[in-house]
Amino acid sequence: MSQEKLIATMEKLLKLHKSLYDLAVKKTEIVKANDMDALNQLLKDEQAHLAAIAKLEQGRQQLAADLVQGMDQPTPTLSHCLNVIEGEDWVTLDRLRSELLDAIVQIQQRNDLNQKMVYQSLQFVNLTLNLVSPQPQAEDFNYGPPTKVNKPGATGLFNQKA
Amino acid sequence: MRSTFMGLETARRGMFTQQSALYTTGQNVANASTPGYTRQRVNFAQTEPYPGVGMNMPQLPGQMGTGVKAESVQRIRESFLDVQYRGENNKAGYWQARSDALSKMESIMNEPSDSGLSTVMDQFWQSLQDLAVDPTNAGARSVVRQRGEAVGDTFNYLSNSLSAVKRDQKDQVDVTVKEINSVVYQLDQINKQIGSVEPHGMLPNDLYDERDRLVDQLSSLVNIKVDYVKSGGNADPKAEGKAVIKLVDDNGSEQGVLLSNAGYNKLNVNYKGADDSVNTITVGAQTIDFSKMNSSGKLRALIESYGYEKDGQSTGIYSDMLNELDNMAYTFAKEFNDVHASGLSPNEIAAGKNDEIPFFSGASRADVAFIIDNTGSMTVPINNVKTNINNFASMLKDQGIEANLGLVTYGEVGETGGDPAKNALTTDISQFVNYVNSITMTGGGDTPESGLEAIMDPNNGAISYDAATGDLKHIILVTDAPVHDVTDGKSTYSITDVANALLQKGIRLHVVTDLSNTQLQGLSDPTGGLFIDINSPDFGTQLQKIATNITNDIGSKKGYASRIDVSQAIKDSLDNIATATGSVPSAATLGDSSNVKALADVINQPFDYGNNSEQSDFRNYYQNVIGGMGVLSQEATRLTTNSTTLQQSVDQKRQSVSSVSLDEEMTNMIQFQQAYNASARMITLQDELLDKIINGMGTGGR
Repeated sequence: MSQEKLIATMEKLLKLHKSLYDLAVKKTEIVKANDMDALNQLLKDEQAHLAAIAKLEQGRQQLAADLVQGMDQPTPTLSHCLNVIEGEDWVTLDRLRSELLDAIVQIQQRNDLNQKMVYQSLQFVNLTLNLVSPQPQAEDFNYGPPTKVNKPGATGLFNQKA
Repeated sequence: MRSTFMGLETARRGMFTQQSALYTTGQNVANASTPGYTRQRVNFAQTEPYPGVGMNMPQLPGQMGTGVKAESVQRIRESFLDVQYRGENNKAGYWQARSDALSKMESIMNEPSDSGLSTVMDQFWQSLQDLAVDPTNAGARSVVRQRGEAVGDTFNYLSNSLSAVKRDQKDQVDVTVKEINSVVYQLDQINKQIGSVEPHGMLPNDLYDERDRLVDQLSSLVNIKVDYVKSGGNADPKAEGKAVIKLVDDNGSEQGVLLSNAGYNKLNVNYKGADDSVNTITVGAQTIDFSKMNSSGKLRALIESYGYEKDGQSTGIYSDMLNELDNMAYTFAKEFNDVHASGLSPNEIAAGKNDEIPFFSGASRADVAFIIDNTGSMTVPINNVKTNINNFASMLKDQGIEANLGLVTYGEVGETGGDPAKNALTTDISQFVNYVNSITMTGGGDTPESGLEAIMDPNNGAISYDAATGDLKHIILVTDAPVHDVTDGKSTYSITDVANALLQKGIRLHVVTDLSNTQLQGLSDPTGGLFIDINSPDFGTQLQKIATNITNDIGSKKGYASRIDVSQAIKDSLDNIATATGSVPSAATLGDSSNVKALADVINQPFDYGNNSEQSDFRNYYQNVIGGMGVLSQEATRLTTNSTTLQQSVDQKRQSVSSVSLDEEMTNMIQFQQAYNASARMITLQDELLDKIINGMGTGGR
């Protein structure tokens, strides 16, 4: 029955989300340690997870649409499915739904922290870049008649031609 | 002409400078674990070359270098990371203090649990259900009374615990203010010391370190911005200068100056808002309105949990929760009392009349001010008051309320003895009788008198009696004539204005007058008072009606949760619990339990608990309150973790720049030591050269 398939899909989704959360926790540690190689590796893992979750999500939507064939809902949700199912399956599905919601909220909060940390590092990087890169001349923003005077130009802290 | 010893001098300079570099390395290594220490390095610079240019300069090839000198000893510190760290520290301080306050509140409210308010209310409801099954069962009645007392106790406990923690928060605010002032004072001292070292061209690195450590500490308490002002004199261009610290809000705009070139300003928190809450903060001469100050930090979190004034009301984490408890207790008690008073208890059925017994009481003292018209026609009513006042007071005492009586006499303002005259409040009944005995009658007759002045006069009117919050406030106006008001031009007050002023102060006004005197109903009706006939033959019964009204009054909403208790009547006798309904006591039966069912329903009926025109029943409202608190607490915990993580991450970056790495210092030691050895070798060489010149030249073939 498509009910069991739906429950199986939900279990897989829950597992994937939980491991995605573990990845997010690892990311916090890596960003703290400024480890670029590990970060790249982690990003690849994350992409794999996201692809798998997207596919499972599609499957789940398909199954949900099958279950609630009677009503004409454009996007059938789990709540609608819960209305149709009863008994033991209902209990399992409800439990899976609340666990999935919890996992998603946790991932969201952890991502918020990661975003703030990366923002902090970016502030520092931008500051350093601004110190060493040349300032664009105001006159270069527009076209203008060629002037005879040869402007030396800002060289920043380094003489890049050397 | 080059000097003979130039090479020697150059090598000597090399040795000394490398030695100073080694000293600095030694200083770094020694301070490797000092908190707040920033590693130092020596900047080498060449000494002035020889010869200088001028008219009489010697004709030598080029300018020769003359050695090295240690130009300055500088700290390695990244000031941008300092700015980032202080920002994170500030946020961490705020969320930390806030989540502490919220978690304390959560542990007091203790929901869901076996001892929280919702369980107690459920048990009370359950006991009412049990009584409904058999209203004659004395055991069930006793249980109802016990559970009622438990409800009162729980509200009292919650309210008192929250108030105690709120007072703690106030103490913490004071401690934090002292800490801020102390840190700013220390910074001022350091500024002065730095200002006395820098003009000599030197860099006071240890003072800089100490200053940075203090600024870090200050940043967790309030949001600050640090600027540096150059000290004049012969200051080194690398010198940081004196610090100018400004209090800023979260957008960066300046709100006050804590520390400047001229000195420092003390920060002070003013508790002059509504209900002793915080209204403004003064920094030196500048006053900042707290509700508009968006500057985060530990101080703000503590003030927010204690309570501050916003739009004329006191708001804050603890203030709001205390208000909610008061709302719930007051509305529930009032509705419950209304249903109970309309029912009939076994005692009332036996006596044959409805005494309107309240279930919950609210106060232990009532301030009752009698306003008596002292014109000639009032002799009889004044005597009636005298004879019945003892009965009145003892009726109140039976209900557990102590009567605090006062007397204001009045006549026609402007006539002798006609201005309002006030006597002090007293709990001694015989003293009150003395007051009444000493009333001297004036003229006046039946024309309107200045009753409104007797109420509203700011020095002598009844409204000026100082009543403590929680005491019941009642005025009994005894007169046989109407009062002057704004319409007849002989008074500055109007009936509606006076009624509003009384309502605002929570005073109920009862009128004892001729029943045709409907003008005065405009005072008694809006305030919830009674309108009683002065000419009634049984004055005592009329006073009794007023006494009943007073005992049914549970007082003001503010602070009710700490006063709520089962009323004296119920405590005295279980048979005072009203179980039967009906307006005719003689027709009621002991087995009728319909009032109990109505009482049990009170908990399920929707009322306006929150005073905002929204209806909900008790459980839903309480769930909302607790749910709101839980959400705030969860958010505070999460953000505390976040900002602590961010703070640690910036601190790590900062340490990687400024703290001592022993490997690097060891490597530097090797470098400086070898340079020292090389300079020493040069000295040996110069020595050999000089030796050759002095001892080996000009003795041809010796």
